[in-house]
Amino acid sequence: MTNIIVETKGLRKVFEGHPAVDGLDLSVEAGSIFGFLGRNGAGKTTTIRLLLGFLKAGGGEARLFGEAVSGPVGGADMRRRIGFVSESKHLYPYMTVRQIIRFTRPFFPGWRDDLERRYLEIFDLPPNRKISALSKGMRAGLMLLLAISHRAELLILDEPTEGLDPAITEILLRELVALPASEGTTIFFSAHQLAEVEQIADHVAIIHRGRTVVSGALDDLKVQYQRLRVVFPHGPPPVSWVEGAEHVRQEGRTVSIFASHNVEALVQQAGSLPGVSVEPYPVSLKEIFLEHVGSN
Amino acid sequence: MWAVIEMLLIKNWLETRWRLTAIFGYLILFLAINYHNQAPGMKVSNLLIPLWMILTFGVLTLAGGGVKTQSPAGFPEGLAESTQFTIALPVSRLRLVAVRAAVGLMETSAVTVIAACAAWNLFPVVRVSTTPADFARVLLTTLVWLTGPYCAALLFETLLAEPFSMVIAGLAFSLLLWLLHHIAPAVDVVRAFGQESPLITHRLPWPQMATSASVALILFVAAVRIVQTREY
Repeated sequence: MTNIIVETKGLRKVFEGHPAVDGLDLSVEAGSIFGFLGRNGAGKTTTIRLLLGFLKAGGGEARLFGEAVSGPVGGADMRRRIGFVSESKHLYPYMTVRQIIRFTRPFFPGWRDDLERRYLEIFDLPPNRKISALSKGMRAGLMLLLAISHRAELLILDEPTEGLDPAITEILLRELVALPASEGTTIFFSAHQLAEVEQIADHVAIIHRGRTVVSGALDDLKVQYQRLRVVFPHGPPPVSWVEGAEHVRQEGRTVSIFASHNVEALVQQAGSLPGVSVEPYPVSLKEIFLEHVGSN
Repeated sequence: MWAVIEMLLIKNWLETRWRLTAIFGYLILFLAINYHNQAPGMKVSNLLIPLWMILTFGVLTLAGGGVKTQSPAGFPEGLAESTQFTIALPVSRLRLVAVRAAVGLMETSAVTVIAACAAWNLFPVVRVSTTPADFARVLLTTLVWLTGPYCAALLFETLLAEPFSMVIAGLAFSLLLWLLHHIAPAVDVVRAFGQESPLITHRLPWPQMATSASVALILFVAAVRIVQTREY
């Protein structure tokens, strides 16, 4: 049986009459790296705040480790199993790196000194420097250090690479991708950078206007979603394509079909038309994303 | 558990140490001016009432927002962002507010006791006009009184952004005092520093002290309740 670490069913949150999360369904398996995608304002950060109990859900349910998230007074035991990196990467500006580590450590009995030393070195964090004097990249590294060193079973990262330079981003991604194997950590992260998600995630969900529009294993999605290029000898006749043709675009004699499923049937249908050549192409995560949420 | 509380104590101390320093600075200035200008006919009330007012307004600045990160000196935007880091820690919001209040009340007590000792030692008029027992009663009454404005500030810090919270806490607490004065004069807490003062009555003003403590408790419970139910 699959161990589900994060689960939402019909999760809702409304701000001043506007639904920020509108019946969201998610399921994150243990040990996976789950990329949570969406445009600005799609509801990613609100979902994360709901999962962490910072917000009260307006409907539906959210469960972490099989237990219902109990709103703002959520249990300390559950939070002890979670590492969180906020989008803003704000920590206490008046503390030094050493002080914030010393401050955080007693909250987590399972604190790992070896991981603390490793991440201090990897992110080149000067222990005596004040947090207010750290770069955003260093703050992201420090937050990751604090989140990982307490042996979190689940890492919830809200735009962890936002504003970071490519070198730091690469280091951070490399460290993240190693965690499920080395520590058994489940990673749930929201992101804008689709290339980064494609680089490390094994599962993704794309949300739009607070709802899940695509969800699944990245490898399965790449098989499931394909683009067909159908070239007609003359102008294409009107065709009623079988189920699975999400978007159909015509350019001269060529028809481009974005298929969300049922690719074989579509190829068969196109191939049965006289004089037509059909070529299926794999699609990138970016194409899947743009086809679903790229326009209004 | 003690290690967690110790860390929260340190966090809250780091957030308010400069404000406490500022209060001490203001007190030193006030005492120095009065010491320099003291005359033989000086009334003890001319010294103690302004001192009491400085302490009352001073403690309004010592309240943190419970779980809100308070800036050490200024009021820069965005500091509340680290609140998410705080509330993601495996500790209850009740404990966060309680430790915040404990630190603030310890700071309040320290500044009050030091101000009282300074007044006793620097001004012969205080020693001549009062007995040590009456002065100790005034000190105790002041400490209990100060829990009210402190908890008012704590409550409004949880609700509002700085610096307005301090102003509104001050106004709200003044309104509460005005209401007490008009509706229930018997427990008018300001009378503890007027006609019911231990300097006059030579006893502790128990009804006023009980009212101060009750108001402070109600404000504290309200602050906790807000932090526990609030969305961040």
